[in-house]
Amino acid sequence: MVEEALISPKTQTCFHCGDACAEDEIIFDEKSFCCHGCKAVYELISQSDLNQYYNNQDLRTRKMDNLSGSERKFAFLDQQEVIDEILRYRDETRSVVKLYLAGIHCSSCIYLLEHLPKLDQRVFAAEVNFIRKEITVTFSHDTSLRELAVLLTSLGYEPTINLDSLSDSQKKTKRSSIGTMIAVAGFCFGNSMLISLPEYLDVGFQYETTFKSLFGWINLGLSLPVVLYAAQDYYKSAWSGLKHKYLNIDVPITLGILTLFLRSLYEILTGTGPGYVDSLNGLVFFLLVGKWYQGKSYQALSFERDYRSYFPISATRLVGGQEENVMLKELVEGDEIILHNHELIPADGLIVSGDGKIDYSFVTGEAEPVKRLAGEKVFAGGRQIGGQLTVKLEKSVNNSELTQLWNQEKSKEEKHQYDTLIDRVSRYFTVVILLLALGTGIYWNLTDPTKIWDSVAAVLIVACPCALALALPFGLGHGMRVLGEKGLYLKNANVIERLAKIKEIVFDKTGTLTKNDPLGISFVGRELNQKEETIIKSACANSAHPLSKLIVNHLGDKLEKLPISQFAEEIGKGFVSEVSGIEIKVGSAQWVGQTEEKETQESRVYVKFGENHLGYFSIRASYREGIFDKLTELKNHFALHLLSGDNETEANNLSPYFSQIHFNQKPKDKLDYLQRQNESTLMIGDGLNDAGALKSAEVGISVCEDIHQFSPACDALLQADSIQLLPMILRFSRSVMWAVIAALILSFAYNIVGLSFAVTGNLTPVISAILMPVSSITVVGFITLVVNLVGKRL
Amino acid sequence: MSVIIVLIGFSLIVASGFLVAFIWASKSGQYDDDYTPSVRILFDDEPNQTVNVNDRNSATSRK
Amino acid sequence: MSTTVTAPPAENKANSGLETFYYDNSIVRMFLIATTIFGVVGMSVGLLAATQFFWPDANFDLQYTTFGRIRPLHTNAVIFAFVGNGIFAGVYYSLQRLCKARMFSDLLSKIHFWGWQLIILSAAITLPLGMTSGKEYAELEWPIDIAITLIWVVFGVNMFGTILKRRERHLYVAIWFFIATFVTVAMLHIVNSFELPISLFKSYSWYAGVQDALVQWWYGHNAVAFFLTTPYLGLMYYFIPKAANRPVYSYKLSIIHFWALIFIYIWAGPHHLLYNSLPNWAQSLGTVFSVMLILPSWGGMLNGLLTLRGAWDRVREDPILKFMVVAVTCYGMATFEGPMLSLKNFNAITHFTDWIVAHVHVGGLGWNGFLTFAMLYYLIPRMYGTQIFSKKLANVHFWIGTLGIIFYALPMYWAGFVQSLMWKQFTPEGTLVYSNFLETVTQILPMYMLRAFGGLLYLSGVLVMVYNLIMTAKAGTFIPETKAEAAPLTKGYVPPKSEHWHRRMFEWRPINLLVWSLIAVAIGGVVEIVPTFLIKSNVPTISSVKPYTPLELNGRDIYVREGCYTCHSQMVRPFRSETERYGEYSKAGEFVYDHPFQWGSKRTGPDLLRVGGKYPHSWHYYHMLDPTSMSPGSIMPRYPWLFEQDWNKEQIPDKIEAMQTLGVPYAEGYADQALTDAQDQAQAISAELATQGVKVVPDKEIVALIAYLQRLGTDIKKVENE
Repeated sequence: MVEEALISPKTQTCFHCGDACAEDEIIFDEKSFCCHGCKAVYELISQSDLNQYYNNQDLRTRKMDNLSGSERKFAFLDQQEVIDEILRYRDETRSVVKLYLAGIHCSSCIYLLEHLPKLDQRVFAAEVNFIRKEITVTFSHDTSLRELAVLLTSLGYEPTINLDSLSDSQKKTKRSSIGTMIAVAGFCFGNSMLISLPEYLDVGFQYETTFKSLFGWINLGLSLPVVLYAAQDYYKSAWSGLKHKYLNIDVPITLGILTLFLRSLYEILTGTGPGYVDSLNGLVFFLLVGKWYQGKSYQALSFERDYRSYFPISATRLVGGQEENVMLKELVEGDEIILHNHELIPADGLIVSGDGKIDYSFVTGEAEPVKRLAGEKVFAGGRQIGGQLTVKLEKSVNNSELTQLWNQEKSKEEKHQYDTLIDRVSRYFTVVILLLALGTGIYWNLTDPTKIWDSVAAVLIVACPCALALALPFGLGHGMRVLGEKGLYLKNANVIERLAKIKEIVFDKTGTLTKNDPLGISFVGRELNQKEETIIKSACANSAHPLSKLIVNHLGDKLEKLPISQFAEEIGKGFVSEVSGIEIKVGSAQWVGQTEEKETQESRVYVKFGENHLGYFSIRASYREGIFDKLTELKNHFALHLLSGDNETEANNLSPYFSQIHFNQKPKDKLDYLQRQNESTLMIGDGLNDAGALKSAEVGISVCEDIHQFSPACDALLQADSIQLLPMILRFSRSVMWAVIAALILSFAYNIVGLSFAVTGNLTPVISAILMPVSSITVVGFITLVVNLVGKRL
Repeated sequence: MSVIIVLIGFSLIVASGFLVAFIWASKSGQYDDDYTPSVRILFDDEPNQTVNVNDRNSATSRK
Repeated sequence: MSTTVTAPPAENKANSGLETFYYDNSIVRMFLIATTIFGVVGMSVGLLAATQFFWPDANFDLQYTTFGRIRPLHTNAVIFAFVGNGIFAGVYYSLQRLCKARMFSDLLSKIHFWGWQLIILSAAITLPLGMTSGKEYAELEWPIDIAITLIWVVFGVNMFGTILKRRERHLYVAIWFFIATFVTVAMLHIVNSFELPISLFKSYSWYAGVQDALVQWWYGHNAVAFFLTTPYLGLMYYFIPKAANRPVYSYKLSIIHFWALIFIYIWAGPHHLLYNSLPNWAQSLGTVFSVMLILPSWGGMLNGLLTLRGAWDRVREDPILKFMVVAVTCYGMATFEGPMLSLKNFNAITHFTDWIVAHVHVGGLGWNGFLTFAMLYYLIPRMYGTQIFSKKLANVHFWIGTLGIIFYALPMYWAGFVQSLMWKQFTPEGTLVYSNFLETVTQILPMYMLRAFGGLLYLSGVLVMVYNLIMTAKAGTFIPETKAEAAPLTKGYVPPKSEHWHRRMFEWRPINLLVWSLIAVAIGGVVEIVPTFLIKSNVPTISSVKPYTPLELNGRDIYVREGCYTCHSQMVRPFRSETERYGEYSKAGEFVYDHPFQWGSKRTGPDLLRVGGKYPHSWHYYHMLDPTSMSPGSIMPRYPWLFEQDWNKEQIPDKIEAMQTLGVPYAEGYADQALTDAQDQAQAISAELATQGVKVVPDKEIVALIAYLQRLGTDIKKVENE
């Protein structure tokens, strides 16, 4: 519709939002506006150099949809408990709230949003975090959270408020602490290196005893924060590993760190040497950087979303004939709730009154709403379409069938905790090192006992697998970055390792193989003239059936809407109506009295004016570009499965590509199916209905048109248009793992060199000080280079 | 060379001062958002300021 | 849709969260004017000094305008007056806007401004009068040093106060650069300016010889780092995005740039003393860190340049952006060259030559100068609510200025290179090809002329700018205050992370930073005492090295007063080419009684460490009277006034006592007989001069100076003779 507005600006559409202006349009600056809000925004914008804001199409198309509803939509924001949940701070004059605005996408947005106070005097301050698409608003109590939400929506930035957004907060604390650790370690490393350099660079220094001891002490001081604070995670992890009877990579690291420290402590206290403080600090610093790099993830995206981010925050409960808004979590069995048009069923229950037309499309993928009458069962996740509905809950929100999907699988992170490549390697590595240390000890004990401790310490120091521990984080980290550029956003770097092991791929159909909205709609029959189109549109506009809606959209809204004299619909068949004296029948073949063709690849909506058939609208699920070539490509390397919530209509299209195809799959079925699969299964789906499956699969990739919009919990978000990259992505992840292994071998080489020094008892601080960074840097450099090269060819 | 002790002492004091500052900055979320501030400084919240970069550039683009 | 009409009409300011406040433009303008004026002054003095290189008579036979005295004037004027005022102008403009708050206190602003100008004025008076502490870039005498400290604190309070009452939570990276500038400069200035006054305008550096040198160049380098670089980087990160009206290329990078720079810069000082009498390890340290510096520096440069990516069309027509581009490029060149110069083998060639002069002027003229000009062109029209008077003239300025830099830098690089090679050139027989230092000077005279021409171009460019700015100001009307609106920070607002302790620290951190700097200063005061106890213990003393006699001490003060160190080094490096030319290379132990050290950093004339006993008294006498009489073609100025003025007698006892306080082992109570000793020595010298046919009164300064020159570096020889 907005496209229309852009093509012909002469028509009286709001210059700001592109909506059609009512009779009482506001003319300002030779431009017409539909409301004061838009005018205000325009004034604000035109005051500054943000007019490019108006050349920004996607911004305008996103604007103002279903604003009419937003008043009621945000009604729940008036409830005290909701407010208490959402507000970050509140005092007698002002409140502070942080909201997620998916709409934020350019510097104009920042300008507009940070100038809210100028738009509405009751907003005190607004601060945008562009990276996280968040806005922090301080507003007076003259206005309300709801009004704020409405205001933002009117600007085209509808805040995403749901159960999920209530319970975020303590996510980032971890990363901030590692940042501090890196800072501390880096600082100590730099300075201890500075202090140690003279020792290495200048023979003359040997004689400056005062400085030797002074520098020694300073070094010691610099090592303490590192050993006591920065390195603590490694001790913890090593310890928890040992408790679980695992020798994870952090065990040798911890050993190395402690030996380095004690050794340095001894040397400096006794004045027998300069110690290894710089190596120690360097080691921890590099390790932490690696850890941080691996931990990097896409701040703006959420991979943890579950039903809570799909459900509303509150529902309308019926108590003694009185409606009241309550938080979802307060709903209990037996409550009666009221569902208005387009409201979501929060929990399984029985219909008490009203006839339900429940659209389960998001849950099951089934396009057509199902009719449910009083006394029938309805399930959570369905959306009521049409009249008001009263439902008596049989389960609480958390126990409903849909929500069960999440409460079963334990997260993969636990499952894989000690299963990463690096840990498997280090298991042997550690053993070898310990034996080697022992061996060295014994050997020197026999030959030259004075050298025992030196050489044993040296072994443990050199063996400390710095480079080893860096190869994986950087390899995967870079891999993740490369994939991100291609449109696949991983939850964390380790996903690559699992991707590399994939053998079987399970696809969901709707929204994955096909586009979410069937655009392939065309009219078959004789050419329709404008009048007929108008009539059809007007008639269909009254039908709740999704196909009718599609037709309405297809015909576009340049056509005005005619009054209709009568309308009768039969679910699943079609409707009959009368527009400007013409009786019009729209619906299935036999509804209009035509012979049904079997084996169609498409849904058909027939149209009949009076007695003459005009033809039918052919609506076919449109597959994503080039998806079939890719499926063929994948077929050769992987076993492909298809799980579709839909009916068999598309069967013959798909059968050639898949070893197994299952239709009419309920979410639970999908979940069970995936759980039956062995490890190394990749699930690719979208929407709530795949949530369980995505979660229980080895790797779950969720396909989405807009990565910032809702997507179920998964390991990776795949931009819809990059789905044809899938084969490459899988190939890439494998090559990354190979690169990592190569890097590991490289780092082993270094360890062997170092060990050769160590066992012979010739490891001087200089050598370790050189070996440590050099090995780390070369390994990191190597992996970086390789992965990026491979990525180039992706 | 004793003076080197003084210099190193000073440098360390100042350096650690900045370390503390850095830790404060990152902890207090100064660096949570490493993009928006760079845009924010471009907005002059100076109403009716006769000349500012924005007006000058927009002068061509708008009228 | 009509739901949004809930917004009350905009004029209703009642209970609005927005505070209205006014940015103080007048203080900015004051500093802008000051920087312009002192820019012209400082550069003119520089031009005068440059002229004297090929035309010594340009000192008009006046002691006040002789190179040795106006060179410090030039450096101080451009660094502390031109750049200094530029910094303050930029800080006072950007800080207010970045913090969305007026400066903390208008009074402090005014005190800061007038105080700083007063300091500059006193410098402009004392330096030509020869009142100098004899340490490069820190020549000002102790009363002025104290004044600087006080004013600096005023500046600090004003800045941190503003940061405290800011209305923008985030501290933009520029502010961090400003903070760093304040803290470090405070520390550097205080540590380096430790001196013992003997009169209102005379003091001796607390440290001696090697120690003094170390402190001095630790200061010298970091002064460059934190006075000429960090604040201007702050300005770069504010004004380039503003002028280009686009965000900095990578804000993340700019943050990294800042912290990396801070943590590395502090350590890089010692590289100024490569091959000098400083332990190798200290030198190596300096080198390593200087080399590391290139990373953050270039990160910053690229960040600045890439900000203009995609806006090159604008650069072509907007002189402001042009100036900025060249400025940032020069920053890149200078910061590349710096680490190179700190490499020993490269340093061996360039040190003491004009190469260094070229290096610093690429930084000064290009980086500081051009960025200041860009700032002026950007701010003045805004201050006066109008457009620049003539873009054409601004472009003219840009081109003359750029030419000026080229004409300055290239000849100097060339001169430095050529002269250095000539110094080191040997005949097959193993003797120096240019045994007479003068030959290597006359060789590069044309370069000096070109340099002066470059300076002239640059200066005339500035004059064009001054005219342009005045006309601009005339065209508009000054806006003393700019109205602005912003909401105060919500005290209780807690950003993610750091949930609790941040709430406490939030308001107080800036104070903490201030406290930190003060602690640093305080501890400094304490630690400062240490060296005085250690002085003897740590420097290898050479038995034959004895304190100066009172007369020699006096002569040395004259040497310092005339700024001889600006052209003559007292540091023979351990190269064959130098030992061959000057004699035994310097030992750390030789300088234990030098308060301050006089190693110098540039050899326009030959090194003087071993000049003692090289020539007869009469040679020095005639040479000081008219250098060309002894060495034809010399570009050293005449010093007639040394033959009229009497050397200072009253102060001798004080000087001796001061030296004793600083650990110079004069006999107990020697101060009382010092004067008579001095007079006897003067008598002796004038007697010897008489035998060489020179008639001179013993009281004249020339006698004291000769005494000092003849003593220079002779103690070592005694060892050999014994």
